[in-house]
Amino acid sequence: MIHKLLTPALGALLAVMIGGAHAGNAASMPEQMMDAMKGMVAHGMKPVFEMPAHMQSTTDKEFKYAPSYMTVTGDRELTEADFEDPAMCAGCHPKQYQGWQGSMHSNAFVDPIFQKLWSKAEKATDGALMNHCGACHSPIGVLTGSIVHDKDNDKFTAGPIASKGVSCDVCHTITKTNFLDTATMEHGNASFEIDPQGPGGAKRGPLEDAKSPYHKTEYSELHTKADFCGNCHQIFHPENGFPIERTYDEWKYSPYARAGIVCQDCHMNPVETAVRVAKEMKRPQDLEGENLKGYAGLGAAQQRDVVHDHSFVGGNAVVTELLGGGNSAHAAAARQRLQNAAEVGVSFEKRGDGLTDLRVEVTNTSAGHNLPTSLTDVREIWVEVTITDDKGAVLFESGKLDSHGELDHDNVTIFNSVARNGRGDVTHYPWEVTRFSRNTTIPPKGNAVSRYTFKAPEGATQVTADVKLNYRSYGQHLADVLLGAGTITIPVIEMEHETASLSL
Amino acid sequence: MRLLLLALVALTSPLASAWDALPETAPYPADNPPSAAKIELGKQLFFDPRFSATGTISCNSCHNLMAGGDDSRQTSMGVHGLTGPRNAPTVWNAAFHSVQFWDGRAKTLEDQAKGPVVAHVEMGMTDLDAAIARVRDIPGYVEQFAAVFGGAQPVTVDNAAKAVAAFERTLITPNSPYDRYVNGDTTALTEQQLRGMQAFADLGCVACHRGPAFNGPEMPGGVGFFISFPFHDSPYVEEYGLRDEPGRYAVTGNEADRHKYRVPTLRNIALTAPYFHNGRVKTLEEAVRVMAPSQLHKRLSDAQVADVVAFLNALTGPFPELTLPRLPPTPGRSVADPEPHPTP
Repeated sequence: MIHKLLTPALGALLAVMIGGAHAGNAASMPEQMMDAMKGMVAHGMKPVFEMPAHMQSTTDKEFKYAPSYMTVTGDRELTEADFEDPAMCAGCHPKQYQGWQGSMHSNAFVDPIFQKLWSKAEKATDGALMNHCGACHSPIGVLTGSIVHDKDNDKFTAGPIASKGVSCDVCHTITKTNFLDTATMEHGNASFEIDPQGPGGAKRGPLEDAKSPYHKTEYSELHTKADFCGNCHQIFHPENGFPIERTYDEWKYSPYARAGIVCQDCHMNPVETAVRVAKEMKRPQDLEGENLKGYAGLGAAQQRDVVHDHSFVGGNAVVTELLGGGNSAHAAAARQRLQNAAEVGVSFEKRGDGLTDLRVEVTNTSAGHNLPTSLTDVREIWVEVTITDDKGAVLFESGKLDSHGELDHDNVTIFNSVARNGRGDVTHYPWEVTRFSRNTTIPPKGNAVSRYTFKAPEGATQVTADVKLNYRSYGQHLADVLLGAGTITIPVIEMEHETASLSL
Repeated sequence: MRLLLLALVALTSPLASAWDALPETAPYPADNPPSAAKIELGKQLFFDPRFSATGTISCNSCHNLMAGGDDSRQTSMGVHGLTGPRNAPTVWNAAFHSVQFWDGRAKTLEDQAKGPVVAHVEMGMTDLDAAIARVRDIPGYVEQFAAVFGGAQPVTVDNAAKAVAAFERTLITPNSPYDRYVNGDTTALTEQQLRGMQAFADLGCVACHRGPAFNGPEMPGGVGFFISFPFHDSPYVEEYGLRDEPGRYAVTGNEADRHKYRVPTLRNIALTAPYFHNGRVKTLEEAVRVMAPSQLHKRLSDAQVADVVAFLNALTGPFPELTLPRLPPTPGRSVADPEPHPTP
């Protein structure tokens, strides 16, 4: 009897679900605009005549590494001898080195998924994207001209230091941002100037009174700003200008920017600290009882309030695990961060028409950028829902992976974007993207509500909803296309898991 | 207990590769491959005093291979009893330095070999041509240079330097107790030496004194690893005159190089007192005491000093057996005589 009733009921329910499941951002439009304007002011936008030196544009720039906006002080030709090997830095900065080693910054060039995608890009564009991708993934490789593309094997090689990706001397010899020179007049596409000086040369950082027995030290206000990170964590299409990754923008118009909280506050401190930063909306140094004190280097005289962790943990638990060489610390930290990024609220709402709504509210509680961010058209955050009755019968399911590890994109609440190429077809290749036809990423402190409408079977005394918020860095299909089917299973990371019951 | 300590020492060191044994052979440049004949020639030149102004000072005078490869003096004494400004660095394991001299002014052992010959207070020759003229004046050398280097004029300053450098690359001391320990012989170090090894890592000594020769990270040849000494202020600065000379600044004129020195090897450090560039610190205990506040902003207990010193003693020898060379003879004739004696 119940079975007979259930089958048509489920069909109807699915139909309702397709129309009814939707993600909507709670913040209303005018408020968002206000936020944006306040964000700009808080972000440090000032009249041009007050602009600090590291932000000023120059008129004599030649972008030798176009389409990237990377420049070298004095337009010098560089070799690997101009850069310090990270192993060198490790002697006095073991904490920083250990954090960086195995991080996505250290993997930026050797990341096999990136390399496969880059190789496709190079082939599709006849080499036009070498500097575009390389300037952020191996700036030293681009600057020294050491990157070699092995087209037959879809691999890239570079000089020994260049292969170490975004290493110590990349960030610590950057002198200014070229953002006023970019097509968008915004940070991105490697909009930085770099001035490496070889062994013992000046290293730039956030400490005003730093002193080293080995290298010169220079204070850099830029290193204390999100603008610094934005030079690479913000990417627009070099030809059509479409913003493909806009992590920096997402932050800039967020409550975090207004509170003066920058990328470094969360991504260069332990996860526990980042969680408190987001919860209390205070910078780490202002958190009561938070102890981040330490010495910036071995043998330093002065203890610092905050010694930054250099593991730059984000959401990537795939490549950090893959390249971790048995060290899964970075992957574990990524999982931990994902599990603290959002909250899920689950409740039932009885409707007047005899049907019931399951209401799922996903809130971006702790990320200072959208969830997901960066390549939002390949990242996937989705809601997995299972509704059962008291007899254990499954009334409704959504967000399960099929036998190919894929999602039914037409029938799932997913937070991502859908990118389209010039012909209007869906694409996962950044170089083809001309627009997004959908963007359901959740802004910082924003939320998204989905409703799943169903009819409880007759005679049921209780219904239970089991709701998971899942994350993966990319869909299985993309990994299979890039690496070959069966090479790697992209792990699904459970960000949140909630249940709720309704007595009937 | 020993095994446990081994694990601890390995785990807490800041660099996984911090504990390296000294290789059994030293690296050499592509343009100066070693050969037995070349090494033998270099050995003769190293021990031969005839290429000093007075005919009395050889390389070995200040870099005494029968001792720690130095001369145990505060600063070295050259011709006419003149003394120089700096303490003689040991020649043992000098082959593992990426640059030579306290201030790194020579990029290679070959370059270094030419320096003391013409230093006024060392071997005191007026110029290198005068020195090589004396070599050419000794038939036994001419024959050997011809056999080793060939060519129309094999007796050149550069070839002499190459021969000396080739010999110096054999002056290495692998298989010290420390080397045996890191190669797996857990009985090679005493309990105290193990404590000292741990302290050496924990205190941060290893930040600079790392790598197989305890003289810094692996550097490209010709690129030095230079560190400010003393980095921090302490009473020792005045007591031992540690900032009385400008260090590498004198070579480069760069303000950033003031009081910078190449990080010296700690191999055989127990044999090479007195210490530091000016040789003012007489004992290893005191040198360790000076280093802690000067470089690491730390003060050590007597027990810590003793432990570290015990560990440093594990970096001594063993020394390869050396036989004194036979020098090409000039019976009844001194090639040094034509040189007028300069007034000091």
